[in-house]
Amino acid sequence: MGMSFMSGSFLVLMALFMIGWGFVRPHRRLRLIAITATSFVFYGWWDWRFLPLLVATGLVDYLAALGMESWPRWRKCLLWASVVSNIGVLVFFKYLSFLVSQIGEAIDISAPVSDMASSIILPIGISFYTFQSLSYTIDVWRGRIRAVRDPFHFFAFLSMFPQLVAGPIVRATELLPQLETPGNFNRANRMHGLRLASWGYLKKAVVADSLAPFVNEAFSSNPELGLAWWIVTAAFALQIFCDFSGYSDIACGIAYWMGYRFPENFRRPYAAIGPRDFWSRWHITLSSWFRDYVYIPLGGSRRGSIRTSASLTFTMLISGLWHGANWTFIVWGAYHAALLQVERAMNGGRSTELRGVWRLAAWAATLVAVLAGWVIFRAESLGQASSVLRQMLGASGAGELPSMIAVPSIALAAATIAAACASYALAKRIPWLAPSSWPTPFQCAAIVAALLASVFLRGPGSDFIYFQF
Amino acid sequence: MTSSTSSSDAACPSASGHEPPVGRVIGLWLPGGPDEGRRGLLSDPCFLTLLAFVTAVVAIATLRTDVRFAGAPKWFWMEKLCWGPRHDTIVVGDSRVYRGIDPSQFDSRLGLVRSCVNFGFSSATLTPAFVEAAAATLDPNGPRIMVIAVTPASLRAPIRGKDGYIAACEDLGRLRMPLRIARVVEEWELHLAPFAIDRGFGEQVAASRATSDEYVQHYHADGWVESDRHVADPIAAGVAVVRRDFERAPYSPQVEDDLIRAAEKLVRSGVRLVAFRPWVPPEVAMAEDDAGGIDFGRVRTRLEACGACWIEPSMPNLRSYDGIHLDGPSARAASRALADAIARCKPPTTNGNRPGS
Repeated sequence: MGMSFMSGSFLVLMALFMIGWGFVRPHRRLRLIAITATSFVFYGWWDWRFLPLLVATGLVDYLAALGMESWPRWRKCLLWASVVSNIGVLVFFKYLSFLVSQIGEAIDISAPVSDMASSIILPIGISFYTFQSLSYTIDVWRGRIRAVRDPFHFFAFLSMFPQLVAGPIVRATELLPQLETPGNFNRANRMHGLRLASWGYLKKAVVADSLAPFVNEAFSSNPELGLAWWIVTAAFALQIFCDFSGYSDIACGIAYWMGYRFPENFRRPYAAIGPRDFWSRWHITLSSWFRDYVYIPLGGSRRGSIRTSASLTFTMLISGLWHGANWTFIVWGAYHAALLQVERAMNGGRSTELRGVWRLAAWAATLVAVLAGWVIFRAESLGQASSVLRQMLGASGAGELPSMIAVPSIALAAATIAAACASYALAKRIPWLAPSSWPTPFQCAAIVAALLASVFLRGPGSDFIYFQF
Repeated sequence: MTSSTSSSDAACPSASGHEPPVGRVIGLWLPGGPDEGRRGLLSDPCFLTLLAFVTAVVAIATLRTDVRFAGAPKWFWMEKLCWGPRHDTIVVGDSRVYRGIDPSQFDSRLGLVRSCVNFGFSSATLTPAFVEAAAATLDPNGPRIMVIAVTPASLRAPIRGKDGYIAACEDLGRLRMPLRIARVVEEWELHLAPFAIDRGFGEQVAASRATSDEYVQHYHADGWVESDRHVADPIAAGVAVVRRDFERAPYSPQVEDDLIRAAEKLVRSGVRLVAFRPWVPPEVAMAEDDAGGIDFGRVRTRLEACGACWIEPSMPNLRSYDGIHLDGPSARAASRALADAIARCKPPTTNGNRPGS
């Protein structure tokens, strides 16, 4: 049993950390050692065998960055060493089994090789921390940041436990300078952190976990639901949003509590007007990582429309593949690349401000397109995705929703989301409705209520979806 | 809906420039800027919020009335194995014992000083190891009465994974913490379980009697599990279970022989042995005789021959909720009748003659 945010072992670790943090925070070395040690305990709790890998890949990047400053002539070689080691580790653990199975379909591969490949265990969070580590060496190479000499400083950045296994992906330029300081450990930050974390727990435990059995049952039994697949897909859209953004909120909340600040990872993604807008709101730290370290180095939008299209497609394909070694993720990336290309073709690459009914239509079209994309993302195979999409278009199937549909659970999830949307919409017009402006006792009561609901009204779902990535 | 991190949240990542006073536990949470001063822990809203949350969780978990084990709690069975030699009387058997015998009814009727306990385990076979483990809980200085419930099911070969006694021994062997702590952890996991909103809060809170096919069970410290369950046709259900079970695992003469040898050994060591066949509805008893093929007359004769006392208490009107197990009131009534019969019972001598006769 790993130490996820939902586990009792994590709450014990967090309680111990909170008690100790007040003592160690003012002392730089102690602070960094405490963060590193707690993060290693947190990570090792999943499986202690993953720890040496984290340390080894981290050491390569730590030494590569130091080498870049000490031996400028070897800067490029050291950068490549870092890139190859990080991507190599990622390919070995995450994609080798997939590659071997795909090659095995074309040519005959001996059984021991395919058995070895399929027996590789995917270390949790590997996609997140390798990207975070890569951003460090690339930024040192670009001269945007100095290499850190203190290994605890580096490992506190790389393994900081709130965001280690599922993000947000925090760049070295954002987190390393913060860790140099004792952070802003004041009452307002702690309260804001607690509010964020409780909201994250509510989203994950009450909404995402209540929807999970319904969605899982639908996709595993693959019934002929016809148009009712739209309901399943909408449920999955809510589930994945509340699951992942819930994790991000808890991570950001813990960081706030410590006095640090993580970047925003979600900004009301289902309110997006257009695919480009969606990607500026969904998993922001990943999409901005791909923008800055893949899309722009490939030329971005500055080298003509053909090069731009190629860069965009390649970036989205890699982004899809990042989510997992499966054709569904690659096709999902290609699908979003196509959506972005269509949007570029329609507005000529410029941002246009839509108003009135056009804005509403664009929002609806974006939502439908995103939902269709989620079918590809969630489907167990491309065949299933194709079948479900045909049914959603009314081409086939007219069944009933899965018999296990737990109406009260889904109603609870829907009511939570509706209340949140309503409070957000109202708070824009009536500022005092925003939780941050409530009197402190009301804020405290709301936090207690959210946490109590997370305990006693939690759904039967289990791990965070993004742990598998 | 999203994690807003606007600048109005006063979340500047840089250091405040004011080093907080640390080292005082009472001031642990309240360092910060000059605006916060040096107020105590109890004035910190974060601390008070978490304190209120923990208090509310404990209160709800403690006061909720819908807590019930869907399966059996592991600690309950492991505790039976750790009772130690301090009891006067022990009742041994399978689920008909742990669900159907209330040991507290024995104490006054048998004039016991150090109490009677229930050593029943789910699907337990009467193996020598099981019977000897039960005998080990008897106080060497007490009357040492062991009551064995002989059911057709308890004379089948033990099934690993189904025999509750074997499972409890294995669980105890695997335990990595003191049993007392394991019990607290298991109980609190149950108390912190989410409310099953699909069944409705009202139904759960008002669930004092079985209204569904789930068990309503109360675990007593003396080893009895007071239980009830809604079964539409208990007799038919009981007959079906009996037939199915004997198809899976038939009667084992070897188990019967081993039991007789164990009984001889116990009687020789000074244990007063009493045996009986627990009550089930007549239709189910007939199905058992039919499917099991056990000659209970022979079992009785062999047990009496080795010094045990076979009793056939006259049972009052009893209710079996599933055709096999007794509900709480019936278990109490059956236990009283059993205790009266034990009190009247004079054990035979080993050659079949009653002592003193």
